[in-house]
Amino acid sequence: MRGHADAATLAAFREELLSARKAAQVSAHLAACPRCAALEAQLAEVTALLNRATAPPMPDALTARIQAALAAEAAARTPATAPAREPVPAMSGAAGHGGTQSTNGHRPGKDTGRRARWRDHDRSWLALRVAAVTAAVAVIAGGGYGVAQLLTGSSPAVNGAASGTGAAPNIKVKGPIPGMPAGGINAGPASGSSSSQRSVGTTAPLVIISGTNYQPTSLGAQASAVLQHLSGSGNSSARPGPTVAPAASQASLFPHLQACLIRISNGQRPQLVDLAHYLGHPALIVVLPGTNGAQPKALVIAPGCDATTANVLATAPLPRTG
Amino acid sequence: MLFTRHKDRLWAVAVRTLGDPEEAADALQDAMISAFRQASGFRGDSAVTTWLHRIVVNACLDRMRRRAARPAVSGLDERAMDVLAPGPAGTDAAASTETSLDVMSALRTLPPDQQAVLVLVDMLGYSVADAAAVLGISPGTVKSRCARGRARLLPRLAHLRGRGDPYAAGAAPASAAPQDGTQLGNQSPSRRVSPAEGGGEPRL
Repeated sequence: MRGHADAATLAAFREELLSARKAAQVSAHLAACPRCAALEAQLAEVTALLNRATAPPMPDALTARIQAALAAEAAARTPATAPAREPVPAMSGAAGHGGTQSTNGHRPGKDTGRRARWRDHDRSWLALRVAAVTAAVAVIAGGGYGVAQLLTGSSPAVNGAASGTGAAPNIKVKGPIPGMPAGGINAGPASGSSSSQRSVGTTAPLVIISGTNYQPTSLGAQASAVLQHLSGSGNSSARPGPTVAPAASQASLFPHLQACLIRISNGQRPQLVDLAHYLGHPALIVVLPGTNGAQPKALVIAPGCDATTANVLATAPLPRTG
Repeated sequence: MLFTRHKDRLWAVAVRTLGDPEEAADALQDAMISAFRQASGFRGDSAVTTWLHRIVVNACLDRMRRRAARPAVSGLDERAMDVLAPGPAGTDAAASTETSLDVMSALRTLPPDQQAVLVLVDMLGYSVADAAAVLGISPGTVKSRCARGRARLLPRLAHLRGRGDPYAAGAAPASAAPQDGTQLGNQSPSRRVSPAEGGGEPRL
């Protein structure tokens, strides 16, 4: 072998990619040449450096965000009454370290796994899981606030600090968003005002925890019901003050709540900001006033929303009242 | 649910392949939606782990190629920094974090195909056969991409040799990292690929 080996040759040598003849030459050269031997050792160190490189752990909110997105996807495609079926694919036991069973040489076409195709989903393992959740939720969520109340009683996220008013729904109020101007995001008067925002629309947006589990088909109606309840309770006894902190676990899903609201509200002042659930997954429900006479609309925001990412899962107009 | 069962491994692949937590999060979400839609195409003739990995890797590669098409995007380093810098500067953890950032930056300069195999094989320790199954390529192709990628990385990691190895470093000079606060030196010069290497490479 003439001259020294270059890194590419040595790397190929280490992967046994060279011909037998060439490999023998390199091997003999390495034994006699400290310089090339050092280069080979450095190649090994490249692998070691890559192996030691750390990466940030998965953000907690991401799991909830993806589960919510999957639930929304399932809801868009799967009837809530879909019967649960048996899971189809047997799980590989090799989940731990990269699937050591995956040596079957299966070589799919290049595009397999690339293009999202709308196929029948009878065997969808995810659909099975999500459909079960959806069906279970459909049983208890009739779309009305009273029914949603049933959820709050058992929801660990809503522990009864606000239950002093007897039959009153157990809404928790977080209070004005810290740092949010008292006049709202936009100092101007809210447009498209309706009766339901009579009381909630006069101060900074309140962040509440209604305990509602919003559903795709009744999103607008559920948001409207929560709003009406808030305005109703605002008349008599003092509107629930900023005394009750939200469950930390729920608020922590939206660490950038204020930036998120500014991002999605587009200068409008939210009528409702509800740390709630959507299809059983933690989500933020925001009601924005309608523009140009349109009805207010409810937005479902997945965890992870911040100043740059809105994470809007669904929107629905509020039903016209009266 | 399969996602929750595999999420940590899939996240590990995505965040290393893309080098940016936010993009990795988006890619993982895209991939899971995609997996959901394709689930009927899963026939059980490949391990479900492999199948999920393949979808995630492909989602990441799609993003890498899109990113390469618009190389003006920047700020990835800084965002990665925020998440990667949990420990106070001057500690072993901080030094290790800095080394990790350097390694990730160097890796980003490789073609996506080479990055993908090195993430799976060298970073995460997958076997060549597993990586081949995930990527849908032959084991020989995995090996040759690994070899070419390592050879290209070699000069770009030269400044890291002997550094960041807690076992070999002993009393490593702490002067490399400022000890004046919790912020890991955002402008650490060693984070940059040396200018001699940088010509013509897309900015990260």
